[in-house]
Amino acid sequence: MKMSFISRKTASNLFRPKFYLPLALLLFLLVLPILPRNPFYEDLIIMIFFWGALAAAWNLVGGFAGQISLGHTAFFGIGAYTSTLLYLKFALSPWLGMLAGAGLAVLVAMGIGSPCFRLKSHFFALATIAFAEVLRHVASYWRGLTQGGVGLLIPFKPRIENFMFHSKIPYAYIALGLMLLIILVSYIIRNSRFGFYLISLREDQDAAESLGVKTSRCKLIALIISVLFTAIAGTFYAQYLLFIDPDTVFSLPFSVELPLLAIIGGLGTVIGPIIGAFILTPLDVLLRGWLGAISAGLNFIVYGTVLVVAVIYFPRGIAGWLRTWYEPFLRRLPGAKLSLAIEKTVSSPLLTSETSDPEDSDPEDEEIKSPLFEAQSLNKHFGGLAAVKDVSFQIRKGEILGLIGPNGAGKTTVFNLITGFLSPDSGKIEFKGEAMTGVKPPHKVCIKHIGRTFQLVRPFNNMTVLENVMVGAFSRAKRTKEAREEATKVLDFIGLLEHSHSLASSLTIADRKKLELGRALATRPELLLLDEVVAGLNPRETEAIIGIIKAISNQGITLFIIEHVMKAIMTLSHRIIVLHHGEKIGEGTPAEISRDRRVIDAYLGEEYLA
Amino acid sequence: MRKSITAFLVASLLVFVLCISPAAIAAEKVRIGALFPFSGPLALLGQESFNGATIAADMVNEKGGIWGKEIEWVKGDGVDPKKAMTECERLISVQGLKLIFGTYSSSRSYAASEVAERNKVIYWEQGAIADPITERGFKYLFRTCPRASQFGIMAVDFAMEVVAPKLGMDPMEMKVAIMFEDSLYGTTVGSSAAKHAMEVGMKVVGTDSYSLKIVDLNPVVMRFKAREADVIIATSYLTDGLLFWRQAREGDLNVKAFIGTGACHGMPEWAETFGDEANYIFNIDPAIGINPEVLSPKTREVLKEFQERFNKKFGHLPATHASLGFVGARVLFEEVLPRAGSLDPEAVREAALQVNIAKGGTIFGFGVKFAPPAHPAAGQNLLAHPALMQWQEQRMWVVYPVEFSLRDPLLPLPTWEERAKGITRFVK
Amino acid sequence: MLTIVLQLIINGLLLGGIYALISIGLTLIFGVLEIINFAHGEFLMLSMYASYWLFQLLGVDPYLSLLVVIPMFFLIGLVVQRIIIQPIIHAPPLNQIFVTVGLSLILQNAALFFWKADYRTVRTAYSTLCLKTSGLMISFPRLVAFVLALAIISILLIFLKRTYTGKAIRALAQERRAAMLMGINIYGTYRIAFGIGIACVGAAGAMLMPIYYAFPTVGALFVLIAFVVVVLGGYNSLVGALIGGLIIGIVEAFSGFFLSPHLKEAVYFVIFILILVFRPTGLFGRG
Repeated sequence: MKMSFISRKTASNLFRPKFYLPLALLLFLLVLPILPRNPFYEDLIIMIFFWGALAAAWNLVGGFAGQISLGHTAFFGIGAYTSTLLYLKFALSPWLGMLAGAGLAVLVAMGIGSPCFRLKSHFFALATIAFAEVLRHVASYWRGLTQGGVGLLIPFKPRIENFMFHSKIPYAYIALGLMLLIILVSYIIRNSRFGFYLISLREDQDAAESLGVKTSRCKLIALIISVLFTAIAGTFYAQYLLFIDPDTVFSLPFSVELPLLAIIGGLGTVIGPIIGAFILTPLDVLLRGWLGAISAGLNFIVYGTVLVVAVIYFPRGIAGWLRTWYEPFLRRLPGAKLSLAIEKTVSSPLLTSETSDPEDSDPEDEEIKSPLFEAQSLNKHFGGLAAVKDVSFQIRKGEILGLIGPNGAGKTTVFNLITGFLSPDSGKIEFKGEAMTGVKPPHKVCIKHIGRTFQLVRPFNNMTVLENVMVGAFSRAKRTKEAREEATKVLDFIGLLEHSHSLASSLTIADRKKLELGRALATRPELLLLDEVVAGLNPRETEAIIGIIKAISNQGITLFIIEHVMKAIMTLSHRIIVLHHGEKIGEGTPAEISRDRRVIDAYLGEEYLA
Repeated sequence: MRKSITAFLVASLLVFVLCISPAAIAAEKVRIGALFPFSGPLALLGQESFNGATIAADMVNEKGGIWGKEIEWVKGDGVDPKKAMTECERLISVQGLKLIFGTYSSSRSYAASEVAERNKVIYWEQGAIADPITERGFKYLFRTCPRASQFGIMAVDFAMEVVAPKLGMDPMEMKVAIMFEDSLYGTTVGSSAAKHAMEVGMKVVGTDSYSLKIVDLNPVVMRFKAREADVIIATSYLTDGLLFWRQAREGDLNVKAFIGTGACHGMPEWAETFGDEANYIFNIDPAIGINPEVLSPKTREVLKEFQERFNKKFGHLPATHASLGFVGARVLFEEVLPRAGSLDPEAVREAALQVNIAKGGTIFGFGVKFAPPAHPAAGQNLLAHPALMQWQEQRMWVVYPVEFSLRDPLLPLPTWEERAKGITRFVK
Repeated sequence: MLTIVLQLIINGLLLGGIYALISIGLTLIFGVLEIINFAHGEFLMLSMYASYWLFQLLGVDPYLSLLVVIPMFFLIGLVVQRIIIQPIIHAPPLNQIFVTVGLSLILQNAALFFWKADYRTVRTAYSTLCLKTSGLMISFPRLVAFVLALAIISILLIFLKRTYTGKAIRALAQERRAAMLMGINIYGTYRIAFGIGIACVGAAGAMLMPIYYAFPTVGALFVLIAFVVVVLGGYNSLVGALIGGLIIGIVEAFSGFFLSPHLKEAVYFVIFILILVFRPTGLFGRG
């Protein structure tokens, strides 16, 4: 019974345009190399696949991870020169040389990637340019090794083991194979935990870190995969053109071409770079041939104008533009009606990692031998300013601790000290008996089950609501399916289920706050730090959020909340601590605090007493 | 809305461009590819070379063309070696050409000719000098101009045989400094000069290479000055060569002889830029300003006609590169193609291998005979050789070899101070 | 030996002065609008041509042409900012980069199309003038460029400190949102900052004519060096651009002489990378 159900499902899937359309495209690509009878068009097709592969490889680190490398030519050149030199000097088959080149490129990437990733996007781009230029000069200068500016010419001896062929068709299939391989890898990554992590760190690195994403490591892995394929493409190039020199394979214009293809096609999409290659490569060649022959430079004027216009008016690239009518188009094709509806999950209580007491419990009643969280004498200076001065407090398990104080009192700084965004100058932090002082980077703190939200919400704008929460869920789940289920439960819990497939950027501010909350919840924190969650919400929305917070607390999660809205914090908190000019000036129950002279003078104001 | 309109406009532009593709080819023309750097840093030199070739075509077309058909050029832009290869491919496959004429730049020629050879299409090189171009045993490649090694060797020989004795110096005590731009062109000339100098036992006090795109050559100026070079042998393209000379003056670099080996050192720009300060430097290139006695009477006529036509069409007298283009094209149009009877590469090959022009038969004074396929330099015009010229009165005159010369070499090079004061102290 | 070292220092400083002049405009644009202007070199090229044509057609001396070139390029900067830069101010960095790359392509090839690839040079009486003191040579045009660079920077600094617009620019460079809240017309200010940046590089071009040559791709030679200088100096510090330019000039002079002319560019790129990794704010930049 079950088996026949599966096969019927598979069969019906085949008739859905979502499947047969790409399938048809694949068949077309496979047939393409043997269609033209003309070496020029064969060459054009090879170049399209070649650029498509390179752009897709670049897209892994530049599109998905958002690290704009303008120095990929460095790795291209390393691949080209390594395999060529090994072949010319040691008669090593370029197939093996290709692997050697890829390996060398990966080593270099590991060396240069880590220090450079710390840089902001513009500076990272410049650093990559500089790095590639250094390699170009070295290759030019080191005549003994590379023949310098003269370049290396590979004698044409067509044999399979020499990676040289008489006809262009084998080259075309190799290039196509490379391109399809990279697309496959991109597709797998896109739908995997790694892919979610990459996109999240591209969207907002700090938010990603707070959700347990090991941003540095992810960037490096993306770079390594990207560089591997780029170097392989370098070998292919050397074997296809049979001539390389520093100016061609370590060329800045080459580096710039890769992101160009990705951006025109659609940055960060799987198919975008391929579209870019299919459009821009023939355009460049044709423009050069016809306009360039009329008058030098004319073709580039047109090309440049197309570029500028495309980037300004189609910032999401062709893929982004296609998407707006691709879905409706798909629906009109035969077989579309077989699409299945979104699965609704049953509301289920959120599970925490520890057995929780679902009843409202007053934490003060519990006999606690040691608090869940303790901060002792925390200090943090910024230059001459003491942001946090000798602050100590405890948080008991299951309680809601409030943190109030005037602006600039150091509240968010305390949060940052706890969650790994800053290191204290001195002091101790302990969580569940474990020392957590100065634990950095933030993802380590998240792994230990401390979660947080941010004062100004930081959604991953280009991801859907569901995907946003999945990033959080991935900190505990390894498989996409699990993460999706977990995330769906969380969305149901916080009441955003109906917005699952909307882009985060389309949400109202109240929903974004909920999303931020849900995202952090998905990481299964035991201690959750909320930074002004209520700010900017109207009374009805405030009530809704307070309800969610109470529900969270009922699940047994300990909460540490910064708030300015007194009604909210007084209602929610079991206890409150007050900061002023970086110092703790008050601690106690809401009732005690609201009568504390110092707190009134510093913050609450006389009217509050009334 | 805006997006859609823009997309439509861009699409229309593309369609329009696609439509103006050359469709049917006029069957009544002899179509020849012209693959030169027409854009980019070498554009000026590429264009000049091509201009010279067009004069040769004009001269033939006016007499009725080849086989009664007019010659038509189909341009390809070899802006860099890689693009030169794709352009070559396009000229062959899309335009259906059987003969590619070009390419001035050694690196571009080297790369593009490989494509032609694979397709069994004739590649006719008129001005790129790097030796490796004709060291590949290609069957369909022919080069009319001399080779880089000849330039390098001649520079050293001149220093040894003429400069040293004239100045009363022992050649083995002369300090030679060599500088070159680092592409195939500069490297082949520079290394052959360095190699030959060491073979004959001269002192090479420095070999500095630099990238074509360099902005400041002061380091080279200062290094040569610090090493007290007597003779500089320089291989530069255009901006770099001009820059060096200017910075040599700024840095007060004084040598006894400065020997350029082509490109800017043989271009009108040299005199235009420096005026009188252009004078007295030497340049090795196919001979310009040659002793007419060396040329056959017919060739003297041809030279005169070429100069007049070129001046009329382009507004200045032809220099080295235009002349190279002219000679390459002329041999092709006057000697090879008529004999071949068609553009069929096999026929053209056969015809080329039969060419036998005696010394004095080209405006450069050398003859034309292409090395046969078995020869290590197959396709090379074995009779081609450069001459050594000197700028005097802002014009180039051949001064070496003696039989080609019109004037005597003036040595030593005046110092910058002497130049400023208009003093010279040439040895007789 | 001492003479050589002194001469190298002089060469380096004079060269550095030119680099500084080119980089000042870039610092302003980079610091305020946070855009990597890949077309910066092309504006340099255009101003060189402008100066050239003023000389050829009207006999205007390049230094005098500054009076025309500076305002002209200020206006060009305003226009370019409005048409091309403004639409992408809030775009992701990659898109911004590509718009300027496209612009650079258009400008380079428009120059090629209209004026061909010939090298244009201006020969004035003083182009080759060289001052000699105790065995040291100082190139007059480069000295003038050096002095003028200092002058322009000083004027700019005063402008930024004293005038309202100047302060607005500085505010914008430091904190965009706060500046908005303070009622500063940010788009107008961006436009002015860009205009000033382009005017600076326009001045640099006019200064370069007596020293170098104009041709369509001349900008590409200088633009990377300009970026190195900007980062070295601190991307929002004009004084940094000056000092950075001088340092790069000297580094280049020394490494070219002692190492090899071939490697000198590699040396400052390595320095560039080291600065980016260890001190991204540069020597004088604020974090």
